[in-house]
Amino acid sequence: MDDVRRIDHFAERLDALGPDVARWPAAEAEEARALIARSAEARRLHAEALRLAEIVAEAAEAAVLNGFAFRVVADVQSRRSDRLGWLFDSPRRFALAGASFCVAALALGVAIGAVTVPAQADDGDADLASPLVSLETDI
Amino acid sequence: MANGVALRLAYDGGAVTDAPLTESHEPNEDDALMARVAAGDQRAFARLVARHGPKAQALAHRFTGSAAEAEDIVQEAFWRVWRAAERWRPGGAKVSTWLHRIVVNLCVDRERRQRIRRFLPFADTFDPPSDDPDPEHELSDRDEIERVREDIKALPARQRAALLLSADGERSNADIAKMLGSSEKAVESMLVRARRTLRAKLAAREEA
Repeated sequence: MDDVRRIDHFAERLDALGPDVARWPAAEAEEARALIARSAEARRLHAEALRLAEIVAEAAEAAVLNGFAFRVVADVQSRRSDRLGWLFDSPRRFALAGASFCVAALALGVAIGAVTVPAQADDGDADLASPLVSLETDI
Repeated sequence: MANGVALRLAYDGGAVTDAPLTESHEPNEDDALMARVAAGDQRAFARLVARHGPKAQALAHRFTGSAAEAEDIVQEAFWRVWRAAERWRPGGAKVSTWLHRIVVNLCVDRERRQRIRRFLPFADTFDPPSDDPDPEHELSDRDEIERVREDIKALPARQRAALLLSADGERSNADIAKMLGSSEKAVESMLVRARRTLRAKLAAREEA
């Protein structure tokens, strides 16, 4: 690879990995250091990347407002109490939730009963018929 | 204590889903704090907020351009952390990685909603003004940093997130990829485009 192509590649890697060559993969870092040592253009690109990184780092800073952590913790506490409060603060809502629970439990019981009690359709007809037969006989 | 915590949390039914738990590390203070948060310890939660809140707030502030919006986002992110603490698995992703991923997702979602809202005919199209110094007037008095903040805010959302996450030089592109739920190559590409855009704008201003 000639130096012009190396410089193009170096410029691309500077944008991808940042100007701190120490954080680059070892092989690439070694190649980059050698290029910076022998090429004025590489040094110019590196200096430009460093300047941009410094400006971006400064632009990315943001002061945290006073009481920030306190407000975050208070917000979470209030949301927790809101969740329980939704149920317990209103007797009507509490009663509705209880009634819903009972209806759901009843429906579940019926469903389980329907599945687990063995079907006795044929025998059941016979059992029901027999007292009638005996009753008719008595009359 | 930490081992006990690890054993207690090892049975969890499902990992926290906001981050892939592929990053392995020794149990640390954050893991111990998360275990205490899972048990409802509010002091541990406050400590977690103090450790990670400021950086999350700065990221959201520079992403949205508004300190107030950023605080809403960070509050929502910590609420999600509180709710998911029981499912936290020590030794997986770092808490900071997970938290920043939630914050980035919330920032991107909020921006998407705002963009959609602008197209709705009867929607409230009011956007809160930026908290940063006067965006309209005194343009000539603003220093370079303020201009660069505007340039960063004009970047596409994911390029902006990648650039802001890389800005302090503390995170590798691999870490940023985890935070963005993306590949390392994709992050490199985002950073290349973002830095080229900023450099071009800087150069244009210097020429002018």
